[in-house]
Amino acid sequence: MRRSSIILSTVFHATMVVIATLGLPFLAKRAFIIPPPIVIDYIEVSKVTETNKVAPQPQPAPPRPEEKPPAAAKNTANNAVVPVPKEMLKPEDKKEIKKAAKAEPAIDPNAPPDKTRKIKKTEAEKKEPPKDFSSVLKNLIDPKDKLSSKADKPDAKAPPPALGQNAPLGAKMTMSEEDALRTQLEKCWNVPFGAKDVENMAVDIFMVINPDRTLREARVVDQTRYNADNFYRAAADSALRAVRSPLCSPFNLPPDKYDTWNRITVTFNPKDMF
Amino acid sequence: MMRIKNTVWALLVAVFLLAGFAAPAQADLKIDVTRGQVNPMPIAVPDFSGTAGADNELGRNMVDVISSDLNRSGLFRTLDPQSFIQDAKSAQKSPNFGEWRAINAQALVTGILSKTTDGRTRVEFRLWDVAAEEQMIGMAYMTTPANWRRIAHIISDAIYKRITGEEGYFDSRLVYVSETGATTARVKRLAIMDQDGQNHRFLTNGKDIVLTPRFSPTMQQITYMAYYNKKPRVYIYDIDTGRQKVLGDFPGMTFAPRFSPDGNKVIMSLSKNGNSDIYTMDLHSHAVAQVTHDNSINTSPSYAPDGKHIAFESDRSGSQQIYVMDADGSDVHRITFGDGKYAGPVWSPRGDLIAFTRIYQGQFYIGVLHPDGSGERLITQAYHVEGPTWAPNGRVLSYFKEVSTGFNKTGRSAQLYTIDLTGFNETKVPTPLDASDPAWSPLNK
Repeated sequence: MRRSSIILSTVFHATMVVIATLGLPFLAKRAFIIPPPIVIDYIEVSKVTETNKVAPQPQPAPPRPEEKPPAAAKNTANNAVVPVPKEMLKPEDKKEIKKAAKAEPAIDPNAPPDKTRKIKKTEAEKKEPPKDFSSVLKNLIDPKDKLSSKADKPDAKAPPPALGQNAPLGAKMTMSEEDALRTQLEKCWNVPFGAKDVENMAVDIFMVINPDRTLREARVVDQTRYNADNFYRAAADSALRAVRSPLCSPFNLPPDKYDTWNRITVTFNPKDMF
Repeated sequence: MMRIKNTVWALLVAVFLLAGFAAPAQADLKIDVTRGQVNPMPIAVPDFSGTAGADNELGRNMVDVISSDLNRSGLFRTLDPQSFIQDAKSAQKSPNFGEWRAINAQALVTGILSKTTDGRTRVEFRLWDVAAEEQMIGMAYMTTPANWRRIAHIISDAIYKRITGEEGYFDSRLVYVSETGATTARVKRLAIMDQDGQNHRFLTNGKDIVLTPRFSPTMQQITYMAYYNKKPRVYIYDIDTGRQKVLGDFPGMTFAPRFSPDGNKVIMSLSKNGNSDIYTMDLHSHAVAQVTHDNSINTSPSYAPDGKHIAFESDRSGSQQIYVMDADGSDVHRITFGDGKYAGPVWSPRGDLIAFTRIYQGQFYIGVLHPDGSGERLITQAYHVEGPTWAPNGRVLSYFKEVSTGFNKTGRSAQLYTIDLTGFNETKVPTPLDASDPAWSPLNK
């Protein structure tokens, strides 16, 4: 009887440990990779731009003369002037220039207008800084795309969704609650737009969040790529800055569903912006 | 005994069931963020200070150049020093990140200047991530004090690279055609300057017309077109020695030259009997190879950065359009199909885009598209805008814009501009005289 009690007790304790480990998030600690300390690189910089000559030069290249800031045209006589072959023609030869211009890529600015399409572009549009997704990449003659992508844009001024006060503890986040967080993070994320293939760059950020909805820790899931790929590292840093931004603290999360959102993986991917 | 076994099994089953229920409770919530902001990053660059008064002056000048570089890129916004809470000297020792966060700085640059025992200047700078409260990079450069401007550009490049993931382009130069005089008698000279317009100097004396300069990707050389014996000819100019030489002895006119990505060849157009085709010339062996064999105009060739493909313009379809072919001239296919004319393709050093000039409804545009012909975007427009050239990182374009001047609008004034490939942040590049045909150098070495 005593033996059976011991076995029961052992099994029961083991059960509790397993439940505690799997069920309580903070007991299962994930390995956190500490980035190596950054050292300072020492670099010697020469005044003159060095070239790796392929062809041997008969004379060593003279050092680049001390350059002066751009001055008025009058000063140009003092600047270095290079010898020009005597055979070369003088600029007065206008006929030949015109002839050559035909063969050049240059095109006649007075070419008759092509009326098959209309170009809609206003000065205001031209000078306005980029504000939303649709305008990340400017295109002067395709207004249709802009309209459609603007229609897709979620209303940033929409009121935050209800926090689900009556939802049971541990209930799933509703779509509108997820949207609230998404909209908030969109405001904090400064997209590295214009980078090569940025539209295909997806960065996963794992976050652990305190019960007061502030960030406890955030890290890039793919540490290997973070350390190996400069583009990825820049994109990942922009995502980390978003989740650490004071503008995004505390997070727009329903306080009564802590069990649901204490660990979040956010995928930052600007695909909808292009 | 049997009862105990049953109990144990029951408990084990319960463990697994409970584990199964417990798992969803700890599973991570997943959120996709597919949009964001496109504002420039706020960055604080307090003055670099030194041990001596002269160093302080130098430090301030360097910060001016760095701030100007970063602001002009359009990707950064330097914060007003008036708003700084922590002073520069204490920030150099240990940044108080809370105080930098308070003014919305996302990154902080600190720097110290000192003298080495051999009289040179040591510039040490650090880039800090304010939110993460950690150093992103730290570098120290040793050089002569006269070289301060270049060091500032190198620091700007280091900041740009660490934050954007792309190479910078600030430590580079622009060569262009400086123009002056009446429209009918323009004096055109080759000139060179830093990408921000500083350190300007003329390379040729203006006796001869020069056009379409192009930088070598590997050496301090420029290829360009000038007039020789009443014919345009392709020349090579050595920036270090100031020497120039005509390239090859061709029977017709040669024009539209450009270096191959390895710098060993020049690709250009040769026109004879009213027809122009594309040729390459090896700069070492002087071997000439004909690339296109076509009865129409084929010109403005530009290599892809891997050297395997060439973009060029041709009127073989009846209108002026852009084509791409293999480097040996095979597999020619058209990539532009829009209305109007397309001209002067320039393959990005990044390889992902081709810039071009498009003439459409009487206006000139600079545009970009992917090498497969998709994703065409027109990013700037004017009465006359032409001659796009890529910054060494393939992120920024420079070109020239010409506007009418004078009472009767008969005069012409041309200026250089840069623009981000997104189509925003168009910025004028200061030049002492009118300027056209810019060509961006590779990063200085």
